[in-house]
Amino acid sequence: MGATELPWLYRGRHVRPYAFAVSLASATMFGLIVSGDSVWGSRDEWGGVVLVLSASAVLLLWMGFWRPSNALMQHGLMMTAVVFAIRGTYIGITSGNWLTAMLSYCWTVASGGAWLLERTTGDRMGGGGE
Amino acid sequence: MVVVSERDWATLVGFLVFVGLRALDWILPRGYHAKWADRWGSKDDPAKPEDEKG
Repeated sequence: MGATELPWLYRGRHVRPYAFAVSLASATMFGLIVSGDSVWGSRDEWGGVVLVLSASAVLLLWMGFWRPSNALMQHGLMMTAVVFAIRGTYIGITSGNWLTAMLSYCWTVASGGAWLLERTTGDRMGGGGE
Repeated sequence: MVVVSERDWATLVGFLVFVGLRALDWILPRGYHAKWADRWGSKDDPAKPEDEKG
C-alpha cells in the first residue's frame, strides 16, 4: 500500500510533497483573499470564513509536519479539500467559467485522495507520526 | 420560492465533499477494499499467476 511521504527525512520528519504543495496553494488563496484580488471581491463575513478555513488548513498542515502528527495532517488535508470545493463552485457559478473551476476541483480530488491515503496508511507510523 | 445564492451553493458543495469523504472513509474498511481486491487485485497481495511475467 502506498503512503504519502517520501523516503527522505527532514529533521527527523517525513517529507510529504503533496501536503507541502497544497499548503502553498492554500496560503496563496489566503493571500488572494486578504489582498482583495480574489474572486470573492469584497471581504465580507462569508469571505472571512473561507479566509479562516484556508489559514487553518495551512496551520494544521505545517503543525502536522513539525510536531509531527498524522491527526493534524489529516484535518489539514480534509480542510483543503473542502475549501477548494467551495472555491471551485463559487468561481464556476459567479464567472460561468467551469474550466477554471475545475482547477480547484482537481485540488479537491487530490486532497480527498491524500486524506483517504492518510486514513488508511498513516496509522502504521503511529498517532505521533514516527 | 427559496432563492439559493452562489455562496449557499458553494457552502453546500463544501459540506457535501466533507460528508462524502467521511462516508468513503466509513465504507472502505467495511469490506469494499476486500471486494475490490478480489476483483481487481491489491498492491499488498502477491501477484496472481496470470500477472507474473518471466
